[in-house]
Amino acid sequence: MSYGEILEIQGMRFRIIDEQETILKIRRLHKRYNKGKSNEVHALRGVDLDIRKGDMMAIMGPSGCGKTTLLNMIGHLDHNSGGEIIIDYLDTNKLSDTEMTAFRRDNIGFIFQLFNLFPFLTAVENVETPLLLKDIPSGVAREQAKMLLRDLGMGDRLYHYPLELSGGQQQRVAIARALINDPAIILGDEPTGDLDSNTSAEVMKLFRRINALNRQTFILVTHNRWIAEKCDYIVHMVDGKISHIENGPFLED
Amino acid sequence: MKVYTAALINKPSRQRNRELENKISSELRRAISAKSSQISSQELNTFLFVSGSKNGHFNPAIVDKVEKGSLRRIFEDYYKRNESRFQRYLKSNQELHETSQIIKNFVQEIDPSLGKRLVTNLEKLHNELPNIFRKISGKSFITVWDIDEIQEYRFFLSGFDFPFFTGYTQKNMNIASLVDKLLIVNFFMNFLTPSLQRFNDMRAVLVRLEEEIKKTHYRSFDDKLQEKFELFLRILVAKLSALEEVDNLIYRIFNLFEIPKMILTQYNLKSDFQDINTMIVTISDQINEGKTQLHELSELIQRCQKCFRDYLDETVNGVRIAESTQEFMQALKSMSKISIDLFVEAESLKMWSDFFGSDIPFFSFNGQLIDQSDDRPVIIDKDVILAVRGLFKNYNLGRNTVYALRGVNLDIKEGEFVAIVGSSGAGKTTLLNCMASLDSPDHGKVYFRGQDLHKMKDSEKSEVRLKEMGFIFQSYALLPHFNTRENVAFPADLVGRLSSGIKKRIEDLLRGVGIDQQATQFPAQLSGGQMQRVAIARALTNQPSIIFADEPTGDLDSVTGTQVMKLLKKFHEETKTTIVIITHEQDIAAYAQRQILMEDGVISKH
Repeated sequence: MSYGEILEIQGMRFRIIDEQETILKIRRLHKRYNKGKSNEVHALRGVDLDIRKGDMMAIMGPSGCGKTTLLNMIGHLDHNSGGEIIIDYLDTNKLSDTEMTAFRRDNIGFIFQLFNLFPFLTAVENVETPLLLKDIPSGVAREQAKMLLRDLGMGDRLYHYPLELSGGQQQRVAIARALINDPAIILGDEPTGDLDSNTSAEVMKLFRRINALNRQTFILVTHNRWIAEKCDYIVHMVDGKISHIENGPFLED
Repeated sequence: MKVYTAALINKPSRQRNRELENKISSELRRAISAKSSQISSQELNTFLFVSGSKNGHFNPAIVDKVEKGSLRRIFEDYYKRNESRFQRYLKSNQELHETSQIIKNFVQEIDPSLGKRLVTNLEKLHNELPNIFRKISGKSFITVWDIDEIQEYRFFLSGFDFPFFTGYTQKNMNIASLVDKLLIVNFFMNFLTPSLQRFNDMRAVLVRLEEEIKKTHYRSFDDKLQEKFELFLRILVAKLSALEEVDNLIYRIFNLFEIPKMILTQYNLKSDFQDINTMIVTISDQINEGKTQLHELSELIQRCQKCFRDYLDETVNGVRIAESTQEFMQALKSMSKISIDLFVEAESLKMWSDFFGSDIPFFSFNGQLIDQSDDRPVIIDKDVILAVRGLFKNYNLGRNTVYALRGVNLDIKEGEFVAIVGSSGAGKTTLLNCMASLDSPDHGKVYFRGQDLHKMKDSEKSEVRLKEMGFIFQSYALLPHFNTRENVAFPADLVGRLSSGIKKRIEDLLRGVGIDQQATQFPAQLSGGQMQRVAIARALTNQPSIIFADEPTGDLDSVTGTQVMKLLKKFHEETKTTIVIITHEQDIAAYAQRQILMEDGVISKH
C-alpha cells in the first residue's frame, strides 16, 4: 500500500493519506491588484490550502472569484500581497527573482487554454525547448522530447508544426512540454477549455494516466463540472476565498 | 442528357489532382461532344466531382466505352502513381525507422531470428498496404447518366461486383442530389471488408498478448539488457497510444453512411436498382459489426497498454529476476514474438486510419453542389437581414486540410442579437468573416438584405461594410496614432460625412460607452476595457444595420467583460441594431437573444 493509491473496499473508494507528503502549503494568501488606487481589487482574501503529492485537484468558482489568481500565485507568475506559499518545505517568499525563475522552471509545469505553442517550431522542438534552456545537450534533449511525445501517442507527428495538428494533438504537445522537466506540480488553466467534448475527455484521461504513473500533482482551474469531477477533489472559491472542498470520488456519468 | 463522375482522390498531390480533373473533364466532354462551358468540376472533401450536360442524342456505345475503357484507364494510371509515391513515403519514414530499431535491438538479443522476422514483416506491410489502398481507391469512382430524352438512368458503381445499373425515371427524383450519396455507398463497398479484417487481425494479436502477459514477469540481472527491454516496453505502449484516436475517426466514417442509407431507402429504388437496396442492408450490418469490433478493440488496447506499463510493477503477477541470460531469453521469447506482430499490426492500423481518417470523416453531403440545373430562386424571408446558404470553406495548412465550414445554413433576422458559440476550431470566425464579406467561401452564398454579397464588386462590398456593418474585434484594432475621439470618428470620416451632426453623435457615443473622460487619450494610455469601449463606439459611428463582434471580451477579465456585454445589450435594447457576436464562453453567449452552437464546421443547434 502506498500513499495516493485508491483502495476499493466494498464498493467504496478510499485514498490513502500521508500527512508527511504535503507538497504545497498555502497560508493566509492575499492578492491585491492596483493597491491603494481607486480601482483596487482584492482578488484573494486569505486562502489556506494543503495539497498533497500526487493529488489531482480542481478549482471551481464563478468568474472573478480569484481561481486564476490563485493558480498564478501557485505558479509564481505574479507576486502575492501577503501570506506564504511553501512548496516542498521551501518558503517561496524568500527566493530572489533569479532563484524564483529557476525554481519555477524546475518544479512547475504550465498548461494553458490556448496551448501557447511556438508556431514556427515543430512539435519536438516545442517540447525540447525547456531542456535547452537548462543547457542540456541538444542531442539528449531531442531524444527525451521524442520519447515523451511517443508516450503521448504523437510519435508520427514529431516534425509537424502546430498548425498542422488538430486541437487535441496541439494540447498533447503542450502537455509534453509541461512534463518534459518532470515537474512536481502541473498547473492547468482551463486546460481543455478550447477543445470539443470528445477531445477534452481524451485529455483528462491522459492527465489521469500521467498522474497515476508519475505521482505528479495536478491543479486544474475549470468552470466545467464534468472536467472537475475527473479530479480527486474540488476546491470551490467565492470572492477570493475557499468556500468549501468537495471530496471525490465522483460518480461516473 | 447529363453525366456526373465522382471519385476518391489523394488530397496532398494537388498538382496531380489538377491533371486528373482536366483529363476527366476532357474525356466527358468528348464523350457527349459538349463544349468546355458545359463541363464543370469541383473538389468536395477528398472527392472529385465532374459533371457535364448537353442537349442531344444518347449513344449507349459511348457510355460503355467511357466507363469500361477511358475513364477506368485514367483512374488506374492515377492511383498507380499514388501507390509508388506512398511506397516511397513509407520507406523514408524516419520515425518508423527509429522505433522499429529500438524494438529490433531488444528482440535480437532474445533470438536473432526475431530481428529478421520484424524486418520481413515490416517490408511485407510496406509493399502490401499501398497496394490495398490502390485497389480500394481504384474502385471508388462512379458515373451517373441522366438521359432525360429517353427518361432513363444509368449508374456505374465501380465498387460493385456487377457495376452497371439502368432504370427509368421516377417522379420527383433529383438525380444530381444523389451523386454524393451513391459515391459514399460505393466507397463503403470497398472500404468495409478490408477494414473489418484489419480490426480482426489487430484484435487477435492483442488477445494473444494479453494471455501471454498474464504469466510471470521477468527482469534481467544484466543492466544493459534490462535497459533495452524497458525501452522496448515503452515503445510498445507508445505505439498503442498512437491508436487512441483511431476508433473516433473510423466511427465518424461509419456514421457517414446514415444519410445515403436514409435517402436511398426513401427513394425505394425499383427493378434493376434493387441490388443497391440489398447492398445498403448488407453495409449497415457490416457497419454494426465494425462498431462492435472497434469498441472491443479500444478496450483491448487500453488493457494491453496497462499490461505493458505494469510489467515492471512487482505487485502485478510478480517480477522474477532471471538467473541467467539464457533463462531471460527463454522466458521472453514468446512475448517478443507477439510484440513484433503487435508492432506491425499497430503500424498498419495507424496508417489505415491516417489514409482514410484525415479527410473522409469531415465529408458532408451537399447534393446541390453538383446540380448544374440549380438556378432555382433562393427564398429568403423579408425580415431576414443576413441569409447564409450552403457555406463551405477549407484551408490548406501544410499537410492538413482544415474543413472550417462544411455546409452552413443560417438566417439572421433584422434586429436580432445572436451569439455563435463553439470551441476554437469550430469555424466561428470563418463564418463571421464570410458573413461580413471579409473572406469568400469556397461554395455557397451569403445574402445581405437579399443581395448576393459575393457577387458584388469589391467597391460595392467596401461600401456595404463601411455603411451597413460595424466591427468589434478581440484585439480592439484601434489606430495607435489616433486618440479616442479620432478613432471613433474615423469611420464617419471615411464615408465623408463628418458634419456637425455627426460630431455631436460622436460625443454622445463617447458618453454612452463611458469614455468621454478619455477622449483625447491614445490607445496605449487606455486599459483593455476602455479600448474595447472605444472599439464599440467606433463600430456604432455610422449607425450600421448590423454589428459583428469576434470574441469581444476575449482579452478582458471577467468583470470588465461583463461590463462590455452589458453595454452591448443596453445598446441593442435601445436601438434594435442587429448584433452577431462569436464567443467560446457560455456566460457571454447568454447575453444574446438566440444562441447558435457550432461544432466541427457545422451548426449543431439553433
